[in-house]
Amino acid sequence: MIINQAKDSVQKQADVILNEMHQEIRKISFNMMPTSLQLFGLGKALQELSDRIKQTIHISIHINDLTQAKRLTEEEETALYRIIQEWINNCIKHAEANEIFITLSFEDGKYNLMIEDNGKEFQIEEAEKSNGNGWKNMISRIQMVQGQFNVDSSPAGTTFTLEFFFKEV
Amino acid sequence: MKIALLDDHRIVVEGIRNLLEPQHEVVSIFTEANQLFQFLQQNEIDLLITDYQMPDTNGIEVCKKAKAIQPLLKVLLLSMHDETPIVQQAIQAGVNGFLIKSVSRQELALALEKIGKGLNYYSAEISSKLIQEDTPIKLSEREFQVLQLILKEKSNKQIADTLFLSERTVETYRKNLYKKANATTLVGLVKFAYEHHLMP
Repeated sequence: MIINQAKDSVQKQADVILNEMHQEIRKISFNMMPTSLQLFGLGKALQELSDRIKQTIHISIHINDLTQAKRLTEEEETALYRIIQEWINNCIKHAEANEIFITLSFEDGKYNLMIEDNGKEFQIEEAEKSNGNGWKNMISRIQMVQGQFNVDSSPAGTTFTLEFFFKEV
Repeated sequence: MKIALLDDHRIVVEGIRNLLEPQHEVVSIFTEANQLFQFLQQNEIDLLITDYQMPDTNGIEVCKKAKAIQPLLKVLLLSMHDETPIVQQAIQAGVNGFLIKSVSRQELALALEKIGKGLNYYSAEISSKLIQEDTPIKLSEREFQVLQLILKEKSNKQIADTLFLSERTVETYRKNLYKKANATTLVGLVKFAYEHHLMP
C-alpha cells in the first residue's frame, strides 16, 4: 500500500516534469524556426506569432497581409520574420506599446514592411549604443536583404518601414 | 478496431502500440509512409494514427493518400504541431481527430472511443484554433489620419509635415491604403471611405 502510494507520487511527479519539458521543447523549437513560416509564409507565421504573444501579454497585434500570401525566398522570409520578431520585442519591452499594426505589401518588385506601435518615442541613438545583440542582429538582417529602413517616432508612437527588392521565387 | 500507426520515430510507434494494447488491436506499425500505403493496398483497417511532420511527407498528405486507398478509413493526427494553419488544413483534408503529443493516455482512449463511434475528436488546444476567424481590415490611428489628409487632397509633403512623418513613410501609408481599399484612383479611395464611414 505504502509502496504503491510512493509509486503513484513518483509517477505524478514524472508526469509534471515531462509535461513541462514538452512545453519547453515546443517553445524552443517554435522560436528557432516556426513550421508555419516554412509551410505557409510570413502572413500566417506572423498570425501564429501574435497569437502566442497574446497568450502571455495583454496586447493587440493586427496583421495585414496585402501581398495575397506571396512567398519570398527562404532567406528573405527568415530575415523578415526575425526583424519583425526583434521589433515587436522592442515595442513591448522598451516602448511599452499595447497596440501594434504590421502590414506587408509589395509593388513594382519592391517588398514593403510596416510596423506601427503606440508606445513611447523611439531613440535610434540609444538602440545603436545598446550593448545587446538585438539591434545589431536586426541591422545585419536588413543588410542581408539589401533593405532600406526608416523610423518615424513621436510621443504618440513609432512607424518602422523597411523596403527591399525581392528575388522572384 | 484495427489500428495502424505511422511515425518516423520507431520508439514513438512502439510506445503508442504498448499504450493501446491489449484493449485495441494494433495490426501494424510503420516508420515510412510508403510502406504504409503498400500495406493499405492489401489490408483493410479501421483507423490510422499518424504523426504530422515526417522527413519526406506530412500527416495531411498521408491522410489524403490513405483515404484515397481506403475511403472508409478514419485518420487521427497525433502531432506536436498545433499551429492554426496546420489545424485548418488538417480539418479540410478530412482528419477525424487531432491530438497533440502531450495528450494523456486517458484522452487518447477517449479519442479512440469517439472516433470508433463515427464521431470526430479534437483536443482542447486544437478546438481553440478552430474558432479563430480572420479579422476584417482595420486601420491604425496613424493610417486613419493619413487617409483623412489624402481625402482632403493633401500632398505627401503636406501630410508628412502635419503628422511629423517622413515623406517616404507617408508614401508607404498611401500605397497600403489604396491596396486595402482595393482602389487605383482617389475616387476609389473616397468610395472605400464612404462605405466604411471613414470620411472626414
